[in-house]
Amino acid sequence: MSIFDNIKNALNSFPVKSTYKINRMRPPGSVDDDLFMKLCIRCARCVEACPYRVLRRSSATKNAEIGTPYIYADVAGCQLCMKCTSVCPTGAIDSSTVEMQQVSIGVARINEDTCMNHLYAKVESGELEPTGNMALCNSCLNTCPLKDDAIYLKDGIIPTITEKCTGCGLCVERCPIKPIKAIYIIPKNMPDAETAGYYNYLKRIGKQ
Amino acid sequence: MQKFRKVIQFIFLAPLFIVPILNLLEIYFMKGTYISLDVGGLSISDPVSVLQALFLSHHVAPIMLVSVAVPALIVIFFGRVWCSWACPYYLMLDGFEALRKKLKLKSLKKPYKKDIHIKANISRLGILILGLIFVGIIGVPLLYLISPPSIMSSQSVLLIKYAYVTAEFILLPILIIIEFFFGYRIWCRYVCPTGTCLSLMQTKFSMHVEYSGKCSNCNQCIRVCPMMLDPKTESLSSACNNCGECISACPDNKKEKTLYFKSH
Amino acid sequence: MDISRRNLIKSTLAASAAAAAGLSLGCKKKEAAPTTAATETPAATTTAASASTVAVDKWVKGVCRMCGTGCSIYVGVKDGKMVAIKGNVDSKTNTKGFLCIKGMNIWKVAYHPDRLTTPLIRKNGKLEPATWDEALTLIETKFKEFHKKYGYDSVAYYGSGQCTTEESYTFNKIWKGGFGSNMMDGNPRLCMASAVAGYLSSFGSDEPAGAYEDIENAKCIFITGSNTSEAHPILFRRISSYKRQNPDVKIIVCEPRKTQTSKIADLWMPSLPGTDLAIFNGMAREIIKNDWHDKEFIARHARFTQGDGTEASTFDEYIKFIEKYTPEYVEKVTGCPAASVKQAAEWFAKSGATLSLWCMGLNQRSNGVWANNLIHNLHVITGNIGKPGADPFSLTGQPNACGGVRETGSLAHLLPGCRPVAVEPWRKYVESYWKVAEHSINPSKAINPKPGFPAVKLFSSLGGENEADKPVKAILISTTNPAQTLPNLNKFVPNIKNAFTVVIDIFPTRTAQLASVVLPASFLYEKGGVYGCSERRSFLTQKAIEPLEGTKADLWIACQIAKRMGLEKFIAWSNEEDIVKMAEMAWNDYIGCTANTEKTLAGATYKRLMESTTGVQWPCPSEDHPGTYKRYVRGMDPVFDDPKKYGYEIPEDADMFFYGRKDGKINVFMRDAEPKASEKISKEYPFLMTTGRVIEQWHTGTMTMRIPETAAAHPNSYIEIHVNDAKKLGLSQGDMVKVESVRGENVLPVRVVNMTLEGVCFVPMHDQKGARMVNFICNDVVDATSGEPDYKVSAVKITKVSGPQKVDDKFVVTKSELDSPTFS
Repeated sequence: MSIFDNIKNALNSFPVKSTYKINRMRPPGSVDDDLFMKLCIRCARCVEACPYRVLRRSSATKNAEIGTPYIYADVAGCQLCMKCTSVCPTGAIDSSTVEMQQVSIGVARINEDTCMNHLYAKVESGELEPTGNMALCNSCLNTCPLKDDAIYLKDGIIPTITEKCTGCGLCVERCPIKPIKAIYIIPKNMPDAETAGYYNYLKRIGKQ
Repeated sequence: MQKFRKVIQFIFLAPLFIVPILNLLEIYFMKGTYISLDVGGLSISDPVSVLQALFLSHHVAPIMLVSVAVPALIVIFFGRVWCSWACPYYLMLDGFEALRKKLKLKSLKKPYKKDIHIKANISRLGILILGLIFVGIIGVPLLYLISPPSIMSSQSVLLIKYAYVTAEFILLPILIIIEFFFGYRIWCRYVCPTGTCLSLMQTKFSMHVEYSGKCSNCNQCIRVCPMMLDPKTESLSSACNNCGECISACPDNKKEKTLYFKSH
Repeated sequence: MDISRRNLIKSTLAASAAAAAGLSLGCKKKEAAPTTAATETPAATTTAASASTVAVDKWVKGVCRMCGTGCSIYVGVKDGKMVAIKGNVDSKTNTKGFLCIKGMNIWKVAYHPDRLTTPLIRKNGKLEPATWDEALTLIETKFKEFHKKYGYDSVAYYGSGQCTTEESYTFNKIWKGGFGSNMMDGNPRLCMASAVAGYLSSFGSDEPAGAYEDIENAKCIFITGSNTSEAHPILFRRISSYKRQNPDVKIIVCEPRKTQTSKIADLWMPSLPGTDLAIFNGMAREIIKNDWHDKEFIARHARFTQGDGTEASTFDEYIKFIEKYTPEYVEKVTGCPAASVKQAAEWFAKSGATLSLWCMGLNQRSNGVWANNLIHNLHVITGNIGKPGADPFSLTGQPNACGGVRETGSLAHLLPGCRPVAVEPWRKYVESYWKVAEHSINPSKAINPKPGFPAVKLFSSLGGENEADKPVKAILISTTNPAQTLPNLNKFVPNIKNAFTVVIDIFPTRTAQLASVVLPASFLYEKGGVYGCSERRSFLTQKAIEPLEGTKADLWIACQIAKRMGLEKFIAWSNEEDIVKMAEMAWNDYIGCTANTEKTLAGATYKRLMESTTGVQWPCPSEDHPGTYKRYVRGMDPVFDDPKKYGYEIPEDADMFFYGRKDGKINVFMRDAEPKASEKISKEYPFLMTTGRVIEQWHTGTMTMRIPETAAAHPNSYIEIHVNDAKKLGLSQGDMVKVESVRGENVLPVRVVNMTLEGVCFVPMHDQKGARMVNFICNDVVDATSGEPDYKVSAVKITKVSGPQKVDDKFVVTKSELDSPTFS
C-alpha cells in the first residue's frame, strides 16, 4: 500500500471523529451519542446533580471525550432518579425524560457461560454434570428498578432481559461474578457488542 | 471602587468551593461550573460553549438560548465586566501581579505601545475563529476545555466530590508558570476565547470608559491599565474590560470628572 | 423513541449472540490454567466456581448456616485455611449440590478483619480487652452474686437457632438442670414458636410429619406466608423445577406481595397482612360445602375442638362455625377475590396430595398459632396427611432451630424431646437422666416446673440492679443479636444495656455494643457440630480448620461457665480438651436423653453422622435404621414398631395414628379469623407494613454484610411502596421517606413497585444502620399462646423527607463503634 493510500484511508476514515464515538453509558435521557458529544458542553452540572455519585466525568486521555459525563456500571449503576435530566443547559440530556420507563441508556446482556443461574439451569436440565459449584443468585432481578418488566426469570430461574430494559446498569453493579461481571450493558446505538461498553474498552486497553 | 471590584471578584471565586461543598451536603440549589452555572433554576452558560455546541450539532435547544441570555444582556449593558469583575483566573493574575511586587520582582508589563492591543485583539479573534473551525472539524468542543476558569471549577468539583482530577488539569499549572514568570496576562490578552466572544457582543452603547477630553496628561491611566490600552482614546477597543483601574488611578478625577464610566 | 428503541433491540439482539460467544471465549482464555478436579465443565468460569477450582488439600463435610433449608456443603481447606465451598452432590436437601449465593460465599466470613479475637469487658463505659480468665471470672462472680441476691431466675440465657445442637443442649442442661431455672429462651421464639405451638396443639407432637421429598410427590402445593424464593432459595428451586417438569401440579401462593414465589404459581391469592386466617376458614367452608372433604379420614383422625381448645365439639358444629366465611365475606375481609378462594379450595381438596408450606408469614403474627391450626384443619378435613406428598410442612428460618432448639427443648417452656416442662412424668424422667438431684446447685435439686419467660417478656423483665420491677439481672446471649432482632427496639435497648449482658459472637453486633462482656466465638467450620433442618434431618458439620487465634467455641465457653459455677461433674464433657470430643460427648448425652421419645436420634451416632453424606432424619432408634421420611404411618415410623418404648399406645390395627395425642386424633380447631391483637390502620397511620428477607442477606447482616458479593447486591434496606400509593404521596424512586409507627421511625429510600397490594409496604429486615433498623417500627405484641411477636403487621405513616440520597453504605457495626451505641 502506498503512502498515498495510507493518507487517503486516514483521511477518509477520519481518525478523531471515529474514535470519539466511544462506548460509554451516558446519563439517562441523553440524546444519541453522536449528538451528545457535540451538544454536551462538559459543564458537569449533571455530575453534580447526581445524588448517588454515579455520574462521572471522563478524562482527556480517553478518546477526546474529555469532560463528558458517563456511568461506569461495574462500579455503580444509575438509580434512575432523574435528577440529572432537568439540569442540562444544552439539551444533551433531554429534559422531557421524567419517568424511568422512558430511559434507554442501553440494553443489558447476560453472559450465559458465566451467569450462575444459567449454569444452574444447565445442571438442572442435565446439560452439565453437577459439581457442587452451582449457586442460585437473583441479584440482577432483585435490583432492577423495573423488575418483572425489564427482566424476568424464565422458567423461574433464567434471568431474561426484555426490550423494556433501560440499561441503568444496576444489575451490572450488583452482579456477584468477579472480576468480569456476567451481565453488562451495551450502550445505546453501539453497533456491535464486541466493542461496546466501557467494560470492553478497558479490556481492549488491557486493564482487565 | 477597586476595593469594591476585589470584593466582587472574591464573591465570584466562592462558587469554586461552595458548589462542591453544597453538593457534598446534598443541597442542589446552586450547581454547575463556570461553563454553566445554575442558581436556583436560573441557568447561566458560557456563550463560547453554547456557540460550539450550536456549531457542532446544528441543533438549537431553547434552553441553550435562555442560558446565554443572562451573560449576553450583561455584556450589552455593562460591557465585558465578567473578565475583570468576576473571572477567578483574572483574580489570580491580579494576585500574581501583587505577589511579584511584594517579592520585588520586576513587573512583566512592557511599556505602552500604541498598536499592541490591536495585535492582541487580532490574535484573540483569530484563535476563536480558528478554534471554532478546528472544533468543527474534529467534532470535539475543545475551546472551553482549555479555558482556565472552567478547568478550575470543574476540577474543584471532581476533587472535592470524587477525589480525582481529569487530564485537562495539567493546563492549569502550565499556565500559572507562564503567567507568573514569562509574560503579562498572556491568556487574557492573546488567547481567551470566552473573553473574545463576550467582547463581540459589546457595542459603543454598552457601558465604557469615557474621557472628558481634558487632563493633566500624567499618563497614570496608561500605566495602570492591565490590558495595556490608552483609556483616553482606546476605551472602545474590545480589549477593554471595564475594570475601572484607570478611573481609580486618575488624579484629575479628584478635581473634576475626567475619566468615568458612561452608559447609554 | 419507540422506533429507535426497537432498532436498538434488534441490533443488540443480533449482536448479543456473537457477544456471548466472543466474551466467553475471552473468559476461557483468561482462566486457561484450571487446576483441580472440578473444572472440566464451563462452570470453571464463574467466580464462585472459580473459587472452588482452587486447589484444595481436602474437602470437609458441613452444612450451610444461612437459612433453614439445611443445604449440605463441602468446605475446601488449603494450608489450614478455608478457600472455597462446594455443594454436596449426594445431598437429599440441596439435590445435585445446588447452593445459593450466600452459601457459596460463606467461608469469606471467617477471615473478615472485624472478627472479634479477644474477650472484652466493659470498664467505665468502654469495652476493653481482657483475658479469657478475667472475662470468665467476672461472669462467674456476677452470676453467683445474682443467684444469691435475686434467686436463680435472675440469670437468663438467650440462645439461637444457629448454635449447634450440642451447644444448645449443654446450655439447656446447665440452666434447667444445673441452675434449676427455666429462665432461658432463644431466638426461635421470634421465629417458629407459633409453629411449635401449632403442631403441639393440633398433633400433640412437634415438627412436620413429612419431608422435603414430599415436594416431588405433591400434586398441589399451597405456599402461604412464605417468600420461599428469597428465604429458602434452594427449596424454591426444587419446587419450581418440579413444577416445570410437571405442569399439572397446581401451585397456590397466598400472600400480600406478588413475589417471585407467586411467579410460578397457578393462583396468587392476595391477602391484606394479618387477614389470611379468613381465607383458610373460607377454603374449609368451600371444601365442605362442595363435599370435597375426606369423610373417612375425618371420622378416623379428626377431633373437633372449640376455639379455646377446652371442649370437644362435633363436625356439625364445625360446619356451623365456618358458615360465616363465605367467599364473599372472605373477599371483603382479605381482599382476595371470592373466585380464587373457591378455586384454591378445589385444588387443595381434589388434587390427591396437597403439601402446605409456610414460614414466618404465619408464625410471626399475633394469631400465629391459630393460623397454623387452621392450616392443619385444612389438611385434616381433606385427608392430606400421611400420604406421600401430603403434609402441612412448616419451614424454619434458621439452620438449627429444629434440631438445636425445638428438639433439645431449649426454650423457656420445653425440655429435651420438645415436651413441655410442665408435664410431670417427662420432667421427672429428665431429672433422673441428668441426675439433677445429685448435681444441681439449686437447693430445690429439681427442674423448675414453671416455664420461664418467652423472649419478649424475658427482655421486658431484664434490667439493672437498681430496677426493682425487673427480676432478670443478667443474660448470656449466644449467636444472636437481640438488640436488632427484637420488635419495638426502643423498649428493649435500655434493658439490655442496663443488665449484666454477656454476648458470645464472632463479630461486633448491635447487641455487643450494649454488652458488659463480649466473648469472641469460633465460626461454625472452626468447631463443627450438628445442625437439624426443617425436615427433621440432622447433619454433622465437621471441624474444617483451627479456630482463629483468640476465639473459642461456644461449647467450650458453656463448659467453662459450668465448671466455674460448680457443675463440673454435671456437664461431664466440661473437662475435655478437644472440642470435637467434647461435642461428641454432649451429643451422646443428648441422644441418650431423647432415645425414648419420638424424636429419637439414638441411631444417629457421631460415627454415623461423620460418615453420612446425607444426614439422618428422626425418629431413628437404632444404627441400622435408615431414618424416617414420614411420621405417623405404620411401616415408616419406627414408633409403631414398639410404641410402649416411647410411652405411647397405638392400636394394633391402626395404619395411621397420631400418637401425640392420647386418642390418636388431630385437633380441628374452630378458631376465629379475627386478628384481635394485630395493629390496624388508622387515619394517622394508613399503611400496613410487613417485613421479610431478601435472598442475598441473612438475618441482621452481621455476616452477609461482610461478604463483598452479597453486601454489594443488597447494600441497604428500602421500603417497597405500591405505585399508586407512591403517586398519592408524591414519591418517586429513591426518595427518602420517614416511616413511622407509634413505636418508632426509620428513614428509608423508596422503591416504587407494583407487586404489593395497595396500602401495603414492605421493608427487608437486614440493615444495621440505626435509622434503617426496621424493628424500631415493628410491633411487640405477641401471640398469646406461643409468645411470638407480630413482625408482619404494623400500621405506619409515610412522609417524604428528601430527594434521593446515596445510602448504599453496606453499614456494619465495627470494632471501633463498640463503645458508642448510637443506633443512628
